Amino acid sequence: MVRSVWKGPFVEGSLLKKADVARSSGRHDVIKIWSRRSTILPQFVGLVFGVYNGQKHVPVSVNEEMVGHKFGEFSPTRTFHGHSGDKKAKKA
Amino acid sequence: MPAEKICVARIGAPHGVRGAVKLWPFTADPLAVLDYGPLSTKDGKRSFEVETAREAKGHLVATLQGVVSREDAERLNGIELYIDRDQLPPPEEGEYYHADLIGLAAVNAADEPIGKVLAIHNFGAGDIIEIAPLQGPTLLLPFTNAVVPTVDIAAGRVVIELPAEIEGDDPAQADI
Repeated sequence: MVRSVWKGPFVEGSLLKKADVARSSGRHDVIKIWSRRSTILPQFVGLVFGVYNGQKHVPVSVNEEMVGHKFGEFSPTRTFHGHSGDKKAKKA
Repeated sequence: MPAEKICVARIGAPHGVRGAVKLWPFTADPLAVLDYGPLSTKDGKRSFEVETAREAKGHLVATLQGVVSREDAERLNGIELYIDRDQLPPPEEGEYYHADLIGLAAVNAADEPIGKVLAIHNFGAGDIIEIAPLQGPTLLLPFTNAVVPTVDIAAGRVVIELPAEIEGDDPAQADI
C-alpha cells in the first residue's frame, strides 16, 4: 500500500538539521546517518551522506534523479565481490 | 601496479545439450565479451572464441568454438576467461579502469601512507573507492575530486583527502 499523499514524505527530523549544517559549512563533509527509511528530499541534492548498512557507512552522493527514493536503496546490506572486468570509474 | 590480465567472464554450467554454456560476464556491457576476440585462461594455455551469445537472466547463454556437446561444456564449468590489459581502449579524460585503480597505494596530501585501494563500487549513487588501511576496517569514500584529488597510475598512488564527518544520531546510542 502506498503512503497517503497528505502525510508528505517521511524524513527523520535530525537528518534535516544535519543537512542544514553541512550545507552552511560549504565543505565536502559526509553526514553519517542510520535512517535508511528516510526519503531523499530536493534540499539534499549535492550533499554526501554516509548511509549505514549494518556494518559501514556507505557514501551516497545525492543527485536530482534520487529525489523521492529512500536512502537505504543506495546502501546495499549484501555485497557481491566480482571481478572488475572493463568497468570504469569517473570522478564526480 | 596495474593488472596485466583482466578477468572478463567466467564459464558456468552447461545450457542445453548442444554445448552451450552459461557465461557470467564481468564487463560493464555484458555483450562486450564478444568484442575482445579470443579469451584465454589465466595461464594462457587455453583460449576460447565465443561464437554466439544472447542475454539471459543475469548471464549470457553462449556457444564456444569447438564445444559441441553437453559433456564438453560440463568440463569447462568454473573456468575464468581473461584478456590482456592492452586490449582495453584508452579511457576518457577523468575516467579510470577499476583494474588500474585496484592495488594502488593510498597516501595523504603529506605523502604519508594510508593503505591501498581494495575495490571500486557503484551502488547507484556515485563511484565509491574502498581503501584497506594499514590496520583496522576498510574505508568507503566517495570517488570525487574533493576526496581523491590526484590519481597517478604511473607512480602507483592515489592521494586521499579524508572528508570530515558530521555525526548523525546513532539509534543504538539513543535512550529507549
